[in-house]
Order: sequence, then C-alpha cells, then structure tokens
Amino acid sequence: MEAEQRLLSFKQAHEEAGSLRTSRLAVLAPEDLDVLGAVLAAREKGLVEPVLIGQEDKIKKAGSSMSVDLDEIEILDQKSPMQMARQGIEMFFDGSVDLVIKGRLPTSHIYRAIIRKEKELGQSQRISVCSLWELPHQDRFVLLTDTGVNIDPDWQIKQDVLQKAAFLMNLLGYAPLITLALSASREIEENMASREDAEKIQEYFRQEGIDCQVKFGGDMRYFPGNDGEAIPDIILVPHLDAGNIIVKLDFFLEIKRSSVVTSSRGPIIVPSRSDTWEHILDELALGMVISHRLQQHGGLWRGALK
Amino acid sequence: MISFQDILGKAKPGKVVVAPRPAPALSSLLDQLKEAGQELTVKEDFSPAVLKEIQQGFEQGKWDVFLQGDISLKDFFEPLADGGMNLERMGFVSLFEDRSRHKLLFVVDTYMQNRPSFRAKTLLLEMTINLAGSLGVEQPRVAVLSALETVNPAMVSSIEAAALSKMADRGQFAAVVEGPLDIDSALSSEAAQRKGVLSPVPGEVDILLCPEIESGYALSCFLSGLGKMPVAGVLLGAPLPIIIQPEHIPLLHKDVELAVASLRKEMEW
Repeated sequence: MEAEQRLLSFKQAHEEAGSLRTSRLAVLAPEDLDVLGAVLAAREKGLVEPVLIGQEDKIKKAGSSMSVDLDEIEILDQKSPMQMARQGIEMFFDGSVDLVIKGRLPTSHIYRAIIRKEKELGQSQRISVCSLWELPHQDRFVLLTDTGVNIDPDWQIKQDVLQKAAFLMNLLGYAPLITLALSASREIEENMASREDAEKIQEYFRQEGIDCQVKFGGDMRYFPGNDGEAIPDIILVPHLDAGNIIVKLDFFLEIKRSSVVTSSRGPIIVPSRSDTWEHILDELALGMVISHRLQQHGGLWRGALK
Repeated sequence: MISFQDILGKAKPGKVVVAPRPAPALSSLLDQLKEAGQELTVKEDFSPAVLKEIQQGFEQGKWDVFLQGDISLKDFFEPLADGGMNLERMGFVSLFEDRSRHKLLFVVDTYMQNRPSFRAKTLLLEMTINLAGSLGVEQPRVAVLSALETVNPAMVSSIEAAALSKMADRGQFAAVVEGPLDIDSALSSEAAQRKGVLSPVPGEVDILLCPEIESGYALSCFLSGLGKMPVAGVLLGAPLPIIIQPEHIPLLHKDVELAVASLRKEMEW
C-alpha cells in the first residue's frame, strides 16, 4: 500500500471529510435522537446525504420532537429491525450507499446481516469490531480489537481480527505497526491463554512475513509518560469481557472513541448507546475518511500488509 | 476516607517484618519510612526457619505486617500455601484514589485468581465490602462488571453478576450490588439511564468487581498507567496481613498499604 498520510485526530478527520464528495449514508433505525441529530448536522455541513431506514412513523416523530423537517430526506419504511439491517447492508454492498451508521437497533442484527451478505458473496464471514481511541495530548489514534463480536476467540480468530485491524491502521497511515496483545500473564501465573495466543500469532506473522510486531503483557509501561516501551498502535484484547471494559474507559479517562464493524465492503459505524450527537458527528467524519481511503486502495477490506 | 492522605492520617502502621531483604528500590523507600519512625525488621532470607519465626512473631504480637521482599511471588507464596494458606480464597484489590470523584475506588480481583468460581466471587465481594468498611465506606455501592448490562445466557459473567445482585437484594451482602453492568453504566449515571438501568450504583460506584483476571489486571493497569490514578494494593484472605509487590502496582504508595494493613481485624479481609 502506498503510504497514507497519518491521521492524528478527529479534528483532522473532519478536515479531510470536508474535502471529500458528499457520501450517501444509510441510517438504520434513525429515531435515536443523538444519531439523527448527528446525521442532520453532517447533512447541513454537506458531508452526507442520508437515507433513513426504519419505521416511518417513529422517524417522523423523532424529527418533529427535534423540530426539524425531514421532507427532503429519503425514508425507506421498514417494520422489523432485522429488515432494516438487511436493507442497509444490501445497499452498502451494491454501492447505492457509501457508508452505514447504526441507530437504535441491536448491533447483533447488523452482524447477522453482514455475515449473511458475505456468505452470499462467498467472502470471509468473520467480522469484528475495531475501536479507535484518540489519546489525550498524544496526537494519535490507538486501535482496540475485537471489542464487539467474538466472545472468546481462539488464536486463529484473533490473528484474523488483528489483520483486519492492521489493514485499517495502515489505511490511517500507521506503519510499521506495533501490537500489544493484552495479557494477564504475570509472576504467579505466566501461562495464560492470552499469552500463548500472542506467541502463536507472533510465529504465524513471522512465517507469513506480515509487518506487524506483536508483544504481550498488561503493562502500564506502554502508556504515555511511563518509561520504556513505545505506545502500541493496536491493542488486541484477550476476550470480549476484557475488551468491552477497557475500550469504554473513555467514561473515566480523557479519551475519544469510535467503533466500526469490519466488513469486506468497508466500515459500518456503530456508535455506543451513550454517545452524544457531537461525538457521533466525529465518528461519521472518521467513517468517511476510512471509507474513502479504502476506495483509494481497491475498495476491499483485506488483511494486514506483507 | 476519600483519599490516601485520609488513610495515612487516620491509620497508624504497625510493626513490619520484611523477608527476604528487599531490592534497592523498595529498600530505600523503607529506609525513608524508618527514618520517619516506622518500626521495621529485615530478615535476610526466606527460609522455612524464617517463615516459622515470622509466624510465631505474629502470634506473640511482635509484628503486625509481613512484607514481601526481593523474591518472586510464586516462590513467596509457595511455602505459605504449603503451610495451609488457601490461594483460592484469596484476592487482590487495586485501591485507587479517584481525585476527580473525591473518593476511593476498589477494583477487585486484579491479581490472584484467573477465573474465580461463583463461590470465590461471593467471598471476594464480602472481603472487599469489609475492606471498604475498614476505610469508612459503609454500604458501598458495587458494580459487578460484564460486557453488557443485560443477562446473556452465552456469557457466564453476566449470569453470575445477576445472581450476586439478587443476593444483595435479599440482604446477603452489606452493600448495594448491581449487576451485570458494563463499565459505562457503572461509571456514568447518564449512560445507565440511556440504557434503561435504574439503580443507585451508576455514577456512585465504590467497588468494581471484575468478571475474571484479564479484565481486572488490564483495568488496573490502564487506570494507573493511562489514567495516572494513584494506586495501592491490598491482599485479601491471607492468614496474616501480608503486603506483596506485584508488577502492576508501583511501589509509590507502600505507606498507604502499610496503613491499610493496620486496619485489618480478625481476618475480616
């Protein structure tokens, strides 16, 4: 891959998104007021032209509760959340929209719709969630994965999701990559599955010539201001419980976060249910940048680069 | 007590014995404490004879706290376990000073058990509640963490969290226990409300009970490493007040650990 310019912040994502052509955006179950608010703000800025997919009466009600007129916006009436997910993913894969964002429906419906579509196309059915952290005062992103799909992945699943994450970081201009496989391998118990998995991935990447250094540990040495190690580009979490707890530390620490589901067609933006509309607008901008850069590089979400 | 300063002001450290001789970093820290009046005995090695002497010394009131010196934790625990210490009934609390919320935050278990059984979790919770009580936090608010705030039959952590929460509803813990909670619902009442969780715990949480070690260890490391929150460690369920030096707890607040250890009565934690 030709080296991309490194994206350092959500602010930069806004700048870059502003220079791109307007994206067609599918919004699934858009009656969530923060999601709808962000989408309308993005439309105002000329970033996106939305297609709202969901129950028309709910959508109109949400619009009137925000005192906005949705007359100029396309609404596709779908009754069931599963149908909303399917239609949105269908439009994404056939190219009639450039980007998809989740509103108020279970994320698992989106997972199922993607897996079904990928299967139909004979492509990888493994999906995962990549969460990007903008670290305070660091001018950089760190990616955490898999923070959403696989409950207790084995090493092969982990190496697969890690490769997808590595590709995303490459798109964002991060290379060569350092991955920290989080592990509670420690003095009283060194032989943790998380460590063994990391060692297998190290070996596999070495054999395959994949340019992504893998370390393991749980150490605070990896964080800014703590002596020693470089900040990792990717944090591979041991399993979903740990990943979910760590990734949402933006509630405690000064971190901004954005999560996307990986699909071969590109990122599906999945805001957290507790995100504010301002933050969802940031996530939209970042999603546009990822999606655009992906198109520049062949349009297919692949694994890490060799 | 809402800060480390409070703990240091209100608790007087007891007499300390350390074995074997500590490495330079801990040693110089202990020297400073000694100059400030801390009673301290250093044992050169950690032989069975020394261990016996220490145990007898505790019975005779010669010492109040046993400090791990320069030895790996595995080698430190082995003779203690041989002598009857049950590692499966033990836990480790990362005690944080949460300056933005002006309170102490207890995160458990961050070191001892990989996957505590349900029974072990009830014990861990009881001991942590007692520890909080020793530090003046009565009826603590507990979040039993999981990846989500609803019960998912595929995720054991969510089922166990719900059971602990129900036990508390029936008065089986001296605490307000809510679970399962994901971390955002635990830390933010606004996030909890958005998810329809109505509970007094979100936003006011004192104790975070982690589902298993990968979450606990990482959470502790991220809060201290990335969040720069001051942290002290407390070993739960040991036959004597023991202070260990695990790799995820910086040495900085050993004085707080000594003060906390002096508050332990009759194995209540």
